[in-house]
Order: sequence, then C-alpha cells, then structure tokens
Amino acid sequence: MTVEKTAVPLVVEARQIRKSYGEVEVLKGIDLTVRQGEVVLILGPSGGGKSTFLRTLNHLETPDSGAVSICGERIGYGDRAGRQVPLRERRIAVQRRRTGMVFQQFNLFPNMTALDNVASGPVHVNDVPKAEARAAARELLAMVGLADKTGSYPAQLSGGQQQRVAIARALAMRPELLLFDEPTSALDPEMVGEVLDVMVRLREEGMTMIVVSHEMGFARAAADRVVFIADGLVVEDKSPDLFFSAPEHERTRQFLERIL
Amino acid sequence: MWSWDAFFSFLSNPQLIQGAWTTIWLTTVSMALALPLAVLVALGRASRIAPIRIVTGFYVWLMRGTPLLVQLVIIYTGLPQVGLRLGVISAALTGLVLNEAAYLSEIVRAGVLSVARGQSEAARALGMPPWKVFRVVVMPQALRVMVPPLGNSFNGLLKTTTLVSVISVEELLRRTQFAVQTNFRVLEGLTAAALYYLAMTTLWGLVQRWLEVRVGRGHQTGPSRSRRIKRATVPALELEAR
Ligand SMILES: Nc1ncnc2c1ncn2[C@@H]1O[C@H](COP(=O)(O)OP(=O)(O)OP(=O)(O)O)[C@@H](O)[C@H]1O
Ligand SMILES: [Mg+2]
Repeated sequence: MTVEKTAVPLVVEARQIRKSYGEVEVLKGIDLTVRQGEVVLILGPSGGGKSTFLRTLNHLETPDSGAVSICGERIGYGDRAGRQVPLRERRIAVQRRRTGMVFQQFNLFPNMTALDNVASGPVHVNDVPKAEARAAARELLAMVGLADKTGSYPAQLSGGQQQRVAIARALAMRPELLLFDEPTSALDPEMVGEVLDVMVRLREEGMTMIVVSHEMGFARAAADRVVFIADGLVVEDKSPDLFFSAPEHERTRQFLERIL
Repeated sequence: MWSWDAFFSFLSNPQLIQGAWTTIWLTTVSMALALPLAVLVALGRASRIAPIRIVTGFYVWLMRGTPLLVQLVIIYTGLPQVGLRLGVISAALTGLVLNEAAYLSEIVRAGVLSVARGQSEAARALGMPPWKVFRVVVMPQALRVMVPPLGNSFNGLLKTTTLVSVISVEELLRRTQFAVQTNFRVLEGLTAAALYYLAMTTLWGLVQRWLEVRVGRGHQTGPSRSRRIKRATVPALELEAR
C-alpha cells in the first residue's frame, strides 16, 4: 500500500514557506506535499494564513523564503548559470497555466458571457481559435450543469451558478491542480450543494485539489487529507477520520469544538 | 430689431460652416492625442519609480492649476521669446492636448482603480501575462466607468476650443465674429453660432449614449425573469466590488 502510494507523482511540493506583511509573520514555515489525484482540505481559524498559503502556490503571493514546486517545476524562479533567480511576471504567467484557482467571490469577468468567461483562458492565454475554445467551453458548461446558461452574463446568474462557471473557467486550461479558496462561503446555503457536487465529481475523475473550506460534510466525504493551519504553521495533517476522531493537538481540539 | 433674414443667412454662411468643421476637427484631434498621453500620465503617477511619479504629478498639478487661456498665450506668444516658434494650429493643439491630458489622466486613473482587484487576480491565475491582464480584463471594465466622464470631457472640449480664437485660430467663434463685422448683426450671428455648438454637443450626446451601451455589456439590468435571482446575488457582488 505505502509502496504503491509513493509511486504516484508529486504535484505540489511546498517547503518551508514563509511570508510576512510588515512586522507580522503570517506564514512561519509551511510544508505541504500533494500527490496526483489527492484532495487536500485545509482548515483553520480566520487569519491563520490559509488564503495566503494557497496564493503562494501559484505565486499570486510571493513567499519571502521557501520553495514551491508544481509538478517538479520551481514556481517563480528560474535557473540561470546554476543559480536560482526570480522570474519576471511574464514567465510566471506561463508557469501558472498548470494551476487553476477558484475564488470565494467567483471573480468572473462581468463583461463576458458565461461561455466567453470559460473560453477566456484558452483564447487569451493559449491563443486557441475562438470557435474551437467556445466549443470546448460549451462542453465544460454542460459538465457543470449549465448548458442552458452559455449566453448569460455573470450578473444574470445565481451565486452557485457563477461559482460553477468559475470552476469551468479554471478547468478550461486543463490544469494539473485546482486550488479552491472557500468556494462556498459566499453562497446561500441552498446553493452550496450544487458546487460541492461538481467538486466531488472532479475528485472522481482524478483531479488533484487543494480546498480551503469549512464544509465538514465535504471534508468527510471527499477529502483524502485534512490539513489544519493555525498561526502560520501546519498543526495537523492526517486523514479525515483521524483528524476528527483523534486530533493530536490542543489547538485543533479547541478549533473543532467551536465549529462542530 | 431681430432680423430672421440675417439669422438664416448666418446659419447658411460658408464661413460659419467652415468654422464649425475646424471646431470639430480641433476637438477630435486634441482628444485623440490627449487620451494616449493621459494613459501614460496615469501609469506614470502609479509608477514604482519615484522621479516618474514626481514629474507626472507636477505636470498634472501645473496644467490643472493654471488657466488654459494663459497656457495658450504663453505657448503662442510667449515661447517665441525663447526661440520656440509654433504655428497657430500647432500652438492651439499643443495647448489643448497638454491641458486636456492632465484632466483625462485623472479619469483614466479612477477608471483603472475602480476595477476590483479580484478581476486582475482571476486573470493572472489563468496564466495571462501582464499586458493581457490589462488589455483583456482591466481596460474594458475601466472603460465602462470612463466613458461617461470622457464623453463629458469631449462635450466640454467642443466649447473650450472657443478659447483658441484669442490666438487667432479660425474656429467657429472667430469666423462668426468676422462674419458679424460685415453687417453688425451681433445677436443673429452669435445665436447662429450657439445653434451650431448645440447641434455639435447634441450629436455628440447620441454618440456617447451609443458608446456607453457598447462598453456596458453584462451590466444592463436583465430581463424581469432574472430579477429574482439577481437580488439573491447582490450581497456577494457588493463584497466583490470592495
Ligand atoms: N495583503 C496583505 N497585507 C497585509 N496583511 C495581510 C495581507 N493579506 C493577508 N494579510 C494578513 O495575513 C493574515 C493571514 O491572512 P489570510 O487571509 O491568509 O488568513 P485566512 O486563514 O485565509 O483567514 P480567513 O479564514 O479569514 O480567510 C491576516 O492577519 C491578514 O490580515
Ligand atoms: Mg482566507
């Protein structure tokens, strides 16, 4: 079993990630590895650094120190004459194509239809012809249950529908890894399920995902690991069963008492 | 006594028509040159490099803090004293463009700042390089906010061009004044000129409305069917806007 597991390639390898804003150290040396097909749920108190850490994985946030590798490629740095030098934003943009991100506030482009939102990555990043990108986008929208909403603008869609478009938009780039930052926190309760359903389906299809969320149902049903981050450190990293039944640290127990 | 004959003859006077064309031409060319300059100035004021910020900030402060009339006279009449002699039209364009760009840069700046941060982050997360983030995502949304004030600036500029008559550019006002000197029908002549200005600003108003609809895609209030859904998403959208 363990032998088989290590044979699965690493998608994410984050080593000793540190980040400060002014005097405040928000990330104090976070380590995380994620293998292909794994779903990792990140939990933790507000302000603990979950979003900041997630954003260092695609370099929307530049870590002060430590290294992030996605599929073995160091993010944000390139090799020049044997030395690691910071890359320009233009080069980092190329590296980001392997990673999709879904935001709490959806961040759909309001001036584009659902279809064009989904096609925007392939068209503007990969220079795919518009007709071809739209055909692929149509399929992705059907996959998230929005085949009839292709022509709608974000303002004409419910929150749950917008978030599903956002997931389709991220998928259109065929990422190796999907990052979710509280994808259901801005949704009315009755819309949470439709978004989680899509995420569960992605897991079944083998997508590697890191999800910051407080949806305990999703954690139990769909996560392979739960990582508890507090005060800028990984406090706990284990299977959902162990995490909920036998947390090792006092900090985790306090947190679970408050949210369960 | 008001003379309808005189009024109508002013209205169809080739001098006035010629002047109106000059006014439209001056306004359009000034605006077309001022806008790219304004984008550069707006970028300069947001630059990470301090000297660029200072120079562009000083430029805007100077242009907005002094009357255009004074600027025009300095450029046309004053500069030859230090050996810089510009033609009438060049001087007028220089003054109008430099002055207008300072005001427009504030509009551009406000427009770019109005685009929610999440928008450029979503574009970056997709892997768009910086210039695509700006051109594909930020600029179209900034334009939506910018078109109404830019339209007002164009409208204002149509009338502001009357100032260049003092450095003897033969635009609508100056041509009208010439025409009036043939029969001293001041009231009829200037009323005809005023009508020309009204026609130009009204026409521009129509163009502006069309532009606003064009850049406002996705933001119109939807059909009543989607009203119910929309209300439910308003809190989320408001959060995003912050
Ligand atoms: N751009 C920034 N500038 C300054 N401080 C920041 C910035 N971004 C985040 N912080 C601070 O870093 C800390 C961690 O923030 P982060 O958003 O990563 O927490 P989080 O665990 O995602 O919290 P939440 O559950 O509320 O989303 C917070 O104290 C926050 O105020
Ligand atoms: Mg967060």
